[in-house]
Amino acid sequence: MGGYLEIVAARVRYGDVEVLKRIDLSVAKGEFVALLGSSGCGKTTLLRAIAGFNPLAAGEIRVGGRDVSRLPPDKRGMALVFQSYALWPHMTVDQNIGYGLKLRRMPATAATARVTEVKKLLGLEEFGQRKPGELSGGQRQRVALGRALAINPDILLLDEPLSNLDARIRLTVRHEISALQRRLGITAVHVTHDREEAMVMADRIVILNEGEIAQVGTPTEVYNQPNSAFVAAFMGAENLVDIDVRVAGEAIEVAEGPQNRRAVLRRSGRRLESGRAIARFRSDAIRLSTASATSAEDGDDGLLLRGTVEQVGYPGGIWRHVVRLGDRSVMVDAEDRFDNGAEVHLRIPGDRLYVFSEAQQ
Amino acid sequence: MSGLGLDLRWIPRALGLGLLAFIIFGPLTNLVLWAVAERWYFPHALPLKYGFSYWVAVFAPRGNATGSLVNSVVIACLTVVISIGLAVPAGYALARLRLPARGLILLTLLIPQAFPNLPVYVNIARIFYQFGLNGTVLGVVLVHASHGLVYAVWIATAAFSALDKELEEAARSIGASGLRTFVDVTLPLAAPGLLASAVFVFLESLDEFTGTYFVGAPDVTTLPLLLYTAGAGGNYQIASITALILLVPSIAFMLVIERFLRADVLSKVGR
Repeated sequence: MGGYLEIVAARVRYGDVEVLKRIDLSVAKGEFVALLGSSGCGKTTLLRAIAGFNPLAAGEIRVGGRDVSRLPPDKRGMALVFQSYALWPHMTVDQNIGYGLKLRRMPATAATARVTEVKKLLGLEEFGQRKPGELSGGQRQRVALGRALAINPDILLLDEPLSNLDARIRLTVRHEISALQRRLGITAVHVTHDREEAMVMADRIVILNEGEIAQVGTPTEVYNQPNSAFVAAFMGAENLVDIDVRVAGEAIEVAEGPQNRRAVLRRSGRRLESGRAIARFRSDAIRLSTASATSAEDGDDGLLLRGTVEQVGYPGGIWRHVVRLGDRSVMVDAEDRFDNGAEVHLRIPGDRLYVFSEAQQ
Repeated sequence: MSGLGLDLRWIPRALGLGLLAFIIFGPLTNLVLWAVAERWYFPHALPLKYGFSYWVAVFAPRGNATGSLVNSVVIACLTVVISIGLAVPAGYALARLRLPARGLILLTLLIPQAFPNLPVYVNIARIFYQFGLNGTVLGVVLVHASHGLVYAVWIATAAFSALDKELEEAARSIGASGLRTFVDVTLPLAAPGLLASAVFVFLESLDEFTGTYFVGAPDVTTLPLLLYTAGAGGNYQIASITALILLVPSIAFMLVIERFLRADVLSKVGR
């Protein structure tokens, strides 16, 4: 597929440590891609490699079919927004935003008009003469964004630009940035460790794990069809049970276990082998009931687990239960409250259950 | 009463502060008194006659003071130009590039300071003699620069290290070349530290005696040489007046340091 930004078999080494292990990624023009992962997974390294600050040990980075891997950062037509904003403290807001235009030798009147336009776009009209030290975190963040947008970059790179903002401002800035990106049609690569941020902002999410791409997909794909136990856990399916499965054609038979009842699941394209497996599910995907009430119901495309309530809390809206299943415990959200020590049944629908062979991990 | 107890506890502190004030201001007072004393001899605690006739003598066209002052300032300025001119690229390289023997290079710069001054300068004088540099302003400037370079490079390295690398990367990422980034971002932001090191080198040069004596004297006379000659001749008035003139830039230096040298730069000196 002919992507606009293409990363082909890219590797980055720091000394003997291979931080990025063969990354292949294609980003279409105008697309917003989020690189998501926990700290140390290599997401910032990948972004800095795209920007030209980390040399590739192998592989290629192409923009519009042109290999830019050997070009210095200033020749790549990209603009990077730093996590620290990296605004120049000795320049005013106007000078910060206009610096890229000055470098391009834009005539003064045109440059002033462009700076004014960018400031208007970002709601910074009043702050032109201020120095970065006199601005709030949110305003600095917008100046950093404006400095990058002013030069009309081919590709906008964002390195966790929201992580230094208050939680409340972060929510609004999220929408501002993605609305702006869509309006201007800029190709953007955004690094974040915040799952929700990636979900609401990006067209596609790239989940990185230990220097490798774990999964690439739209937010709904990575959320509902995680391809590995790692992605499932990273996307919030923290609950875990061990099961025994037997794959028979389009059905998956779950053998009766110490915590679960025998069940038959539809295969629905799952890649799975017979044998030991783990099932992951989210705390809100479960129907909780007392053991006596559901005993008659049979598990058709769904898994029934037996456990004991250990702890109940009310984080707001729902009751959150910690339920003990043998030597593991899981979190279960329910509308109704179940008392400590209550024997309960947990029913997880088949499409909310992520099953992976133990060998796959 | 508690008030009395508090007063009593203040006594040692007051004594300590008094002693400190005496240590700091005692010699200064003596210096000022000598500068305005016309006649002063033992056992009198204070001068017998005050006046400014020695000031007139020092700054008279026939006195050497004006010429020495001009010499001192010219030499100090040239020393600053050479030292900072070398320290800016050297300091940037030491701070930014991953040099293998960074610590060793910084230490090597200290070597001229590690040996006793006299033998070093005697040898320099001998070598300079072969090149005809003895008794020239250039020779004295070179000696001062060898001395000033240490401070200049150390402080410049610290000034560049204290700079957030991302500030430079931000400029590179939106299209500035390496040199352009250095001129537009790095240099202005490191300027306060570089200015402080320039002032430091200037003062070092202004105060320098031994090297000037061996390389410059008698053809090149600076203020410290004048002070030495006056002091050795028992002329305490001339010596004190020269010392007071030398004191002015030192005080200016303190003000500049206080104003410009930030703590985050100081904390990186020698790292």
